[in-house]
Order: sequence, then C-alpha cells, then structure tokens
Amino acid sequence: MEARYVSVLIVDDEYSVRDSLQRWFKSYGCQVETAADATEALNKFKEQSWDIVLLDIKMPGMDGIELQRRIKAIDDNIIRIMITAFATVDTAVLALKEGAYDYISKPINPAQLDHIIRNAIEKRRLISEAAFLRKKVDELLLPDEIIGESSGIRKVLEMVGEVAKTDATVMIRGESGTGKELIARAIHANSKRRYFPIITINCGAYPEGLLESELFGHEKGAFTGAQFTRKGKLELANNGTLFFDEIGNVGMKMQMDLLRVLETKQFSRLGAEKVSSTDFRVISATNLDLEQAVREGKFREDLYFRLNVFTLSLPPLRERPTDISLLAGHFLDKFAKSMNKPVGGFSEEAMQVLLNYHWPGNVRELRNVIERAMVITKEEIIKAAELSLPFHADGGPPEVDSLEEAEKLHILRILNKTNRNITQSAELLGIERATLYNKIKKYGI
Amino acid sequence: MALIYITLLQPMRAAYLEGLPELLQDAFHARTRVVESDIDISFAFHQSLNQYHGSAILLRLTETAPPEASKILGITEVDLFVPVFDFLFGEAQLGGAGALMSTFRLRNELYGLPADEELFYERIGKEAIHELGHAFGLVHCFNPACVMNPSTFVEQIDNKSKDFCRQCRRLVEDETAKA
Repeated sequence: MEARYVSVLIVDDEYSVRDSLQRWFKSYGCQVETAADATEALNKFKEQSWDIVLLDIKMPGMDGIELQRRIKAIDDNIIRIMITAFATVDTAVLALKEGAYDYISKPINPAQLDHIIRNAIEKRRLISEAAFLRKKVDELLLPDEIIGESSGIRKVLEMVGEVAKTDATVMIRGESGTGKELIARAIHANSKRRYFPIITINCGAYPEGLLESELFGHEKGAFTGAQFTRKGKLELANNGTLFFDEIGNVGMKMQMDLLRVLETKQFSRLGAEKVSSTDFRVISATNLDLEQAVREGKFREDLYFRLNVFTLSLPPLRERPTDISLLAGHFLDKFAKSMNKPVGGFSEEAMQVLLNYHWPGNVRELRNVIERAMVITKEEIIKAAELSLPFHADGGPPEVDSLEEAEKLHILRILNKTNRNITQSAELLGIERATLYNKIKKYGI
Repeated sequence: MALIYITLLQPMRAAYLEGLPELLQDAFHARTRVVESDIDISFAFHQSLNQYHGSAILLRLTETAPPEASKILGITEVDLFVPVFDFLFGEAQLGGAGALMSTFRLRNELYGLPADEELFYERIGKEAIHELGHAFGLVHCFNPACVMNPSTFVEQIDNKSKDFCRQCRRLVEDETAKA
C-alpha cells in the first residue's frame, strides 16, 4: 500500500499541531483531514472511513482515550496513534491497553513519526490484504457441488449449518460418491477454523506403516528411507480440521494410536522422543457398517464412540431422483464453461436415461458421465448415446466394447458383491487397495 | 523555462551555495538566480526552543517573492522547527511557490563526527532538490534511492541519491514544462 492510498485523520485542539501534521502527511501524499475535537472527529467518520487516526490525548470535552474507544467500536482495524504532551508512562500504557497502535509525544521527532507511520501503513496494507485473501478463501471454499432440492439433501445441509457452528466431532455416513468429502469441506468452510487447513487422510489408501508415518510424521532416520524430517498430517492440521476418509479401513494398531491422539491431542513423530501438541477438529467418513465392524471386533468400540459424536447420513442419489436433473444441469454448465463448448442441455431421451439409471457410484458417477459426454459430444445437446452408462434405462445387458468399460463393470460388480468393502474387493480383484481406490475414482463408481 | 530564485536568508554564507545553482538547473531544467533576502528572520525566533519557526519564515518568503520567480527557495543556517515537530531540515508548500531549508543539521560536527565539507555540500544539494520537488508538487517517494525519499535524519539523506527515480522524474518534467 502506498502512502497516497492512505487516509489520515488528525484530531487535536491546537491549530498549529493540526496544520503542521496535515502538511507533513500531505508531503507523503496521504489523503488527510483534521478535526479540532472529538465531536468533529466522530462526524468525520459519518462521511467516510479512515485508515489512520492521530489523536491528542488531552482535549477539551471528550478526551483522546475515550475518543479512541469510540473509534475502536466503529472499526477495530483503524490504526489509532495517540499524541500526548504529557508523556507519562501511565498515559501511554493506558492508551496502548485500550488498543491504540502506538503513541508519540510532543514535540514530535520527525524520524519517530516517520517510523511509526511507515509501520502503520504496512500494518494497514496487511489488514487489507488479509481481508482480501479471506474473501478469496471464502469464495474458494464454497462447495458448489452440494446441490439439490430434495428433502433429504436439504436436511443434510441444515445439519451442516448447525454442526459447523460447533467444534463437535462429526461422522459422515454414505455410499461412495455421495459427496462425503464435500460435506466435510462444507462443515470446515463454515466453521471458525476455516482459515486454517482441512487435511484429508484417505485411510484406505495407505498400508498400515505408511499411514502411521503420514499421520504422525517422522524424524530423519526413523526408518529406512526416512532421509528427511517430515511433518505429519496431525501437525499440518493444527488449528484446522482433520478429515479421515474411509475410517473403517484403519487397522487395529492404528486405531489404538488414533484413539490416544484424539483423547490427548498429543503425539510424537516416528523416531522422536518429544511429545507435540496439536489442535484440530475431527471429521470422519465411511461407507462401511461400522456397528457391524464393532460387533465383529474389527473396529474398536471406544474409537467408534469417540468419532461418532454427531452423525450425518448422506442419501444415495437413487433416493433423491428429483435432484438428478438439477445436478446434471449443474455439471453440464460447469463443463461447458471449463471446456468452452456451447452445449446447452440434454435430449429428452438422454434425460430419461439419466433419471432411470440407479447410480451406484452416486453423484461422482453422474459427474463423470456428464464430463465424458461433454468431451465426446459435437452437438449443442447431449444425446443418450453419448452417455456411457453401463446399464441403460431399460435395464438390459450393457453393451461393452472397450476393455476399460469391461473393467469398470467388473469392479462395480465386485464392489456390490462385497457391499463396497474395499479390502475384500481388492482381495477378490487381486489388486492393492490403493489401486482399487484409484480405479474407483477414475471410473466414478 | 522555470526560474528558481535561490534566496539567502541571513545568517547564511554564500560560500555554501557552491555548485548549487548548477545542480538545480540540471535537476529541474530551470534557470536559477541567487539573491540576498532583506527579510529579518528574527521575528520567527522562539526563545525557549532557541529555534526559528519555519512555516512563518516560509510564508514571509513567498509573500515577498518576485513575480517572475516560478519557485523560490530560501536557505538559512539557523535551526528550524514547526509546532509539534522538534526540528526540520526543510519545509515546502506542496505544489506552491516556496520552499525553505536549513543547513544547521546537515553538518557532521553537530553529531560529534569529524567535519566533512564534501558531504555537507552534497546534503545541501539533496535537501534543496527535495524541498523544491515538493514545491513542484511531488510527494514523498518510497524508492530508497530517489531524492524524494523522506529524510528525517542525516543518514537518510546520505543513503539516497540526488536524482529523481524514473516515476518522479516524469512528474517533475511535466511540472517544470508547465512553468
């Protein structure tokens, strides 16, 4: 921020002080006005906002200390600098305790004032920049894909609004592709922690040892290959939110470690003796039947209760068919814009196909189907043939030509067979869980 | 072409102006004229501060400026102040006719350092260009090398150059072209 963009109000009962300070600030190019007393100064605030206010402590009527309180109440970001001819420590300390940025005593040393003003301008610049960035962050954080008018999704959004105000631990339940991560981000974006990070841990994507390292971080030499000290996600999430996706896939040892961290908010990096503290909100998500896992002894009951404080259940897309056309239209507009294609809608037949499909991959699958259709289409309307859905509206057998389609269908079949248990599905398919996750993501199933 | 009056306000040794007219001619593409003022600045003396009221002198200086002068720069050896500030190197009317400067705080000896005549003249030159720059409508510049960078202690004067930065140069050329 350059000085010429800074507005300065000088409040002093002595004309000569106002006059010389006004000229001094004008020589910096600042927009500057003066007021002879508190009443005139407060009136100036009705006309416009000020970046910096210099105010005399001793003035007839309302004194500078009281005036700076009033200005603080108007806008705490206004930088208040007190001027005092009575440079006692008590007066200065009182002014600073009341929230003044600094104080300067008469007669003013130009070098001292120059220093204070340069710092104040820099602070003002940082305040403006922070406000601008906050606005940008807010815009970026607004999840635009939680769309729907069905009562199911409306209820979820209402609950998101309520729970976001608190710091409560949240568990999000729902089938794969229903938008659990989006809901987690929506909670974080509306919480007081929103200016700190939300760190996602896909618990199913890491083998146990690696998950431990991801979570806790490690010291250099903690294990073979640990060439550098690395911060874990617990540290990165400090003051923010930690989102455990697929929490049901965490192994027993890790469950115990996790429980300890959640209870104490303390941890040690792998290979470190020092215990560190961290502060985060926990949101977890799963598509598994955790209660069943607890009964079978596969998931610790104490961890389950620790995580399951507030539950949000996301309805699958097939249970909110009224939202399908809305979501399809939203994705169409989004991709038309990003791909710069003048596609304006769906043919009647295409829309029927979308509405009749049972969407096992939920919103993610719908999104991917629309994206693919947008890539393929050369028309202004998306046709049914361009929707590469594995099962068509009539429920007949899928027409599969490519190896990719065959793979997608096979994975889908196995997922349905295991009730979307990733570990079991990966075992049946003979691939790593991480590979399976990648394929689920790739195919949007 | 602008005409700058360099006015000696007594007490002021003319010898201190060595090279100054040429420096100002170069900086502002202007003509200069050195004159001795008959203003008695004792009216601006403040007994308890042992300093002279800069704004009062500047006002008197501009009131008595010859009509052909585009700008008038007063130079004196006395220590200047304006109310609320404890001292000033110089003062100017922003975009106005007059500027005033003092050589009092430009000497090394005041700070307990050995005398350095070359540095002293250099400081006089920079301060004169700076104050006249204000009179030509320029405000302080945060480019540390620019002569319009604010100086509140002598080391700041030494740190900057006697030249305008590119942006200030453009502004001053616009202004001097009008004069």
